[in-house]
Amino acid sequence: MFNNFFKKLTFKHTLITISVIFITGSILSFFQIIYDISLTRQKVKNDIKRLVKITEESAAQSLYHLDVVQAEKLIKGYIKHSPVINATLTDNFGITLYSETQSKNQKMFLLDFFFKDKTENYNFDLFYSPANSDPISVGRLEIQTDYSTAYKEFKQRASFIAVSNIIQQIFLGIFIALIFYRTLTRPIVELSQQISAIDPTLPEGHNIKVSKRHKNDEMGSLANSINMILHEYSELNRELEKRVLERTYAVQKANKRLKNSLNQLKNAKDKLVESEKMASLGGLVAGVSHEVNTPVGNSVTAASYLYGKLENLKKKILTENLDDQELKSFIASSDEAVDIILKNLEKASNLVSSFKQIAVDQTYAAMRIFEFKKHIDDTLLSLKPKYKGLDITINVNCPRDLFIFHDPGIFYQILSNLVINSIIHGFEENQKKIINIEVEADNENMTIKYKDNGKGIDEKLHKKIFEPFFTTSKKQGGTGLGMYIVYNLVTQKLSGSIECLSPENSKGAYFFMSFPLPRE
Amino acid sequence: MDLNILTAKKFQILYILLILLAFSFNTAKAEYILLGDPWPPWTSESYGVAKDGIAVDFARHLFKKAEIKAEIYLHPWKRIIRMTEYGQADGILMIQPSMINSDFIYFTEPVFTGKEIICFNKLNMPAFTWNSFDDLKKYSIGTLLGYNYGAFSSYNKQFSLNTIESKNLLSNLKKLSMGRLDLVICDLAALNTILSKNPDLKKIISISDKPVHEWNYSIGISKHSDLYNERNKLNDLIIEMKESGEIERFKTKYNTNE
Repeated sequence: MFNNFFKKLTFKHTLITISVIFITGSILSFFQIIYDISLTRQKVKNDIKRLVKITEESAAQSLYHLDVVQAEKLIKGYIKHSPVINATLTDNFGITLYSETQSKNQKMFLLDFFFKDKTENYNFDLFYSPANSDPISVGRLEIQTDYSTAYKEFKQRASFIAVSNIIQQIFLGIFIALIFYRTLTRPIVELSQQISAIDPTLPEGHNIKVSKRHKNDEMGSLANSINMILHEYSELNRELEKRVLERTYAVQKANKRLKNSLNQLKNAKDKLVESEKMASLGGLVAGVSHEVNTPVGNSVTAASYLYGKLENLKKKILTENLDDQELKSFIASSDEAVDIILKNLEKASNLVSSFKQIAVDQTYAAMRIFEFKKHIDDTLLSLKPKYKGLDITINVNCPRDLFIFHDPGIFYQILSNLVINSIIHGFEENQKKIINIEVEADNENMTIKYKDNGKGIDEKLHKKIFEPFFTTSKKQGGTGLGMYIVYNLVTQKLSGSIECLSPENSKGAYFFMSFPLPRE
Repeated sequence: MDLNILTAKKFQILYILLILLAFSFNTAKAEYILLGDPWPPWTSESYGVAKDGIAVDFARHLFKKAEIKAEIYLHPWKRIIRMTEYGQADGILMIQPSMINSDFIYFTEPVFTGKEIICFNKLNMPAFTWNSFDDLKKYSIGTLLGYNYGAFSSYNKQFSLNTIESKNLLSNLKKLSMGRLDLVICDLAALNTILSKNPDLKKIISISDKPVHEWNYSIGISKHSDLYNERNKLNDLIIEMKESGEIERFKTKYNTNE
């Protein structure tokens, strides 16, 4: 409670006012005392001079007559005068006629400071005029005064001044503080209460009121100013609300547009991913076509050869020029051609069968048990057209008996993307190109380490390469989605993790994938 | 010769002349100061330059004869002594050799004889006589303030007689005539001068035959003064004037012998 009181303007005002009045009053009192001291000194001086003027004739007479009795009476008279502590009558021969001293030199607290020279000496040369002669010097009167005798009187006066000033200052302080309170603090408090009662969110309709007394003074002006501000504030508030509504509407509209854009983007991305998938399928088709083309071509050649032999045989039979030797030769050639045809067609059939499975896996996500090593080999086979003629050695280190239950299309996409990336971005032109794929698995987890001996990937890009549309070869037709797809497949479809690392003791790209094996 | 040296020499000569001139003034002064206190008829009544009086007239005559210039001033007695002691005066007109320390004062040959007597109101006490101071114990006695009456003063100091001090003799005599005092002790010469001027008092006041005190007055000369060197000359003249009866004639002028 008191803490609050001390913080109040009334208390501060009172304190400052009383302090200022007290300090000013003290300074004035000090000067008043100083002035009083000088008056006291002057009064003592005047008293002494007056006293001497009255008695100097008598003193001169006693000196002239060297009348010790009269001198004694005079000196005792001087001494009775309170500030006088010593009076001496000395004749003009330098002999003291009479002298008396009384010790009144008492210690004056603080006033020693004011009365630095407590004692003062007065010397009066005395002359006597015999009836028919010029005045003659008869000696001198020496009087010593001590202001300490005036101290009592001075102290009373100074105390009265000090006490009356303090009382006056206190009353003045209280009076001024009251005036301050009535004219300043109270109206301010009332004003403050009215202001704090205003709901800042609803300033409309509020009007600060002041009493009639303050209507035309600064309080009135302040209230008017606040009212004006409140009015302007209300206007601004209304304007602001209007603007907020407009902006909200605009934001909502923009948000809608943004959502549409986002959806479009998402669709575009999906389409892109799909395109990528399709592109990989296209690659698969190209690979299949290329691989199947050779055995089919061999078969066609062998069949054409067999057809030519058969037409020749037909002609010879029709011309009956067929001999036994020629028949045997035809049979042998036919066997061989048929054998070639059969073998090549079988090979083509096998190829188509494998590619068909891969294509199916790519198109339709389905979980099945498959031999992982074979799936890698098939995948690499389907990619062969991509690296044919590039002198790339791909080493696969995978257990032969590793069968897993999973969606094989995922692994095709992962592996094909990694291999194609190595082919397109990884290797330098004239280097010996090697890709190592290591697969390890236990009952629960599986790891795939994919390494090439190419240029490698800058460490700064190790995380960035998994971002969508990140590519270093836009000119080469890269979409920047390959590694993004790989990342998504590993992290989301396989629920695993993939890291791009710097291989130890070698250069090139290194991807480490780890994922749990689902139970059948 | 250098002009500066010439100017300096001129100034040196001027300086010496000025010193000589100052000395010449000093030696030319030779005017002595003699002091006395107001004591009619011996001196005049008021302080300052002495006008007249037996001792004053005599001293002026004596110094004139001795061809010594002197001024005579009257001051209170104590001041006279101190002025003489401190060299501010050269001599004292009248002084009793027995009354003062003669360390610094030389007393000349006696000049005047003084007598202190007791006077009484003959209407009140027609048969007053006295033999010793003890006889005065029963009377109120008028004396002068600050005046030393020799043996009487000593006795008074010892036995505290009923003395009433007054500033002047006339006042005492008036009191005596009015019966406010029984006796008055005074200098005979002073009494005679007053009575010659106040015939009414003369009818009332009578003088006892036995004097209180009798003494000689000399001129006192300060031993520190140059006047001291003139002492023999002055003594010779005093003896000469005494023997010729010249001194007594000064008294006559002031009616002191009536």
